[in-house]
Amino acid sequence: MNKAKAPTERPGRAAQPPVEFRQLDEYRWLIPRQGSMRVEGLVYADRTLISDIRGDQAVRQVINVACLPGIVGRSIGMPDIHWGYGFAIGGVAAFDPVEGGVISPGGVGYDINCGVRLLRSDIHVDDVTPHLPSLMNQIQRDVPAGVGAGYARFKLSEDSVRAVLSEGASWAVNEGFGDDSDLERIESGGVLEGADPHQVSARAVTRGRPQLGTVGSGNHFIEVGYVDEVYDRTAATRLGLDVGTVTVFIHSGSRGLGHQVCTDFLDVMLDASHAYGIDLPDKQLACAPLDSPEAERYLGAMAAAANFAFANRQLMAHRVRMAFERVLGSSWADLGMGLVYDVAHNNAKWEMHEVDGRQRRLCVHRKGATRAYPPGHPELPAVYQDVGQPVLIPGDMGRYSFVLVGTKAAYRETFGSTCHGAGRRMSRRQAKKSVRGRDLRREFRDRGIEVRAASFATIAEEVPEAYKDVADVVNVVDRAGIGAKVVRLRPIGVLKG
Amino acid sequence: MERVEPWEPSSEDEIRPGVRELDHTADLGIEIEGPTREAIFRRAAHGMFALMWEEGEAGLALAESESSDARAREEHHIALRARTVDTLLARWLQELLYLYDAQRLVPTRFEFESLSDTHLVARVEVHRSEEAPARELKGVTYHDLEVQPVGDEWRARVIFDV
Repeated sequence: MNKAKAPTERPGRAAQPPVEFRQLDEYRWLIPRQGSMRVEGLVYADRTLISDIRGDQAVRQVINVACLPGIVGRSIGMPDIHWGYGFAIGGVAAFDPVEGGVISPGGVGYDINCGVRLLRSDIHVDDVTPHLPSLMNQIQRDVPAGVGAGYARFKLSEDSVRAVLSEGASWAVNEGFGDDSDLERIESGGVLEGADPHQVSARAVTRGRPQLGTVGSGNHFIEVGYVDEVYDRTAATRLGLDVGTVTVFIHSGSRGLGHQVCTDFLDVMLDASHAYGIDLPDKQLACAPLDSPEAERYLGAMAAAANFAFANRQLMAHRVRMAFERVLGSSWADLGMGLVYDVAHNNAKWEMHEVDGRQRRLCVHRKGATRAYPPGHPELPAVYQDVGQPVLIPGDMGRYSFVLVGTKAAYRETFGSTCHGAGRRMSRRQAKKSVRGRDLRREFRDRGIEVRAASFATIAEEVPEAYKDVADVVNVVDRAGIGAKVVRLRPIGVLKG
Repeated sequence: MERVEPWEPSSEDEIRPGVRELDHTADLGIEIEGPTREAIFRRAAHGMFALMWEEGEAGLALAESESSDARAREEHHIALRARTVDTLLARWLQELLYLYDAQRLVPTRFEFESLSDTHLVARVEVHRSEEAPARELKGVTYHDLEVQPVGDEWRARVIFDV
């Protein structure tokens, strides 16, 4: 997530005329069909956000996606949409195989099944504060973070990797990392069907083997926080999120394994696009018809990488629970550290949706967008049937994050999807310049946040002011009805790569 | 084999000779200029590793190749084909990124045995890096990728996913 708002133009590119929007209501902006668009575009934003988005290349990318074969409904942009590679980040698009629909690795992204997971607890924040420095030290010791950080103690055998790719989070639970109650609170039960480990290259396996159970770098993190504001008491109670209780947010994905799967299949898809005569406005949109052998291979590899990511977050959650046990001296079960939910924001999945009055089996691409299923959806566990699927929206590392639930409007309008985060407002160098000479660790401590990081450079690039205010984004989806706010969380401890 | 040239950046965004960092909110990328196709391929590799290690430490391995520090070095052969020169450049960088991510191997020198728009054969001297880079590159994208001759020289642009 959180890639960034782009500049109006990039060097060496001809200026393009501004895109015409038609405002449907306070939060919906339609991009009428133009050129070779097969469907309309729809962007969710308020007046302030749309003025940023208007000048952004991301809008062109919404239009480019609307030109791809077999797209149905609308090409959708969330309020946190920003310039990405090929597909915009914050984009949702669904493709129908019956109409020649395609799958595109660029519509999923390099970090396949990047997502977030939230643990709850019965611990009051005041009871953890005195232990916070040692708790964060323990988490830093137990969960490797940083570029290429691996687990010296935990390198998977080749056979285990194949099992992870097939079984996802349940592999981790079977190994003793968590329990069965975790699995029902993970999107798709923590395992995507159709995973084909044989489609995952030896290179991808080599990159992934030492990295299961690791955070990575960039915008990935583990964040200890607490519930500081409740918007929907019924839903909050159902999610186990009481005011003042401690939470843990985990944000990571499929690590080097997923990155390599994306790299491998972009090449496959470039050749496929050529072979199937698909006109690409941008090579990163390389794709293949959903009923082609290339698509089948990618879907198998992508599901396998997604399963690696589910297992990765499961293992990290286990390590975090163990760190709490060690520092607070109680079992994680006694501390009430159950899973609230685990949801992806970079994926492509087969789902049933109604389009033009009939139910259709579609391949829904969500790139920097979170699935947000409504109350009553059969995939939700019994405990969430009446409130809807928990949606986890991380903000920057200093302010706050949000928990929402999915809605019927999201299911109807956005293929059951909503926003995923804040989005950058400063370039990396700008961010680093802005912190030159400042004692960031102390600044965070003064705000009541213990920061641990593998690299100072990451913290410098990820300072809160480098990001937009996630509350602005969340308020739009809440008011537009494609997500409903439940609680806000405040960070007290952050581990970054 | 090339030599590491003594070099003073001509501007703040020049991170290696002939390589400028694209510093926009969303982008992490490089723009490369050079007299030949080969220079573009070599400079792009330098630029990619400079982005990973950043200023100060940038290109540490490349600079170290000149030092007397006798670290264990290996040689890798890389042979690639692509439909166009821009995808060939992306694949070249993907190969080097893989060598680093999988084996912590950082190139110290390149020798191109042959290089055209559609194929590349190179010998790459590498050493194992002990020091973690400051930044992870997830992939070399095809987005906005460009390699082309402009007048007397070549220019290229590569965007990375971070």
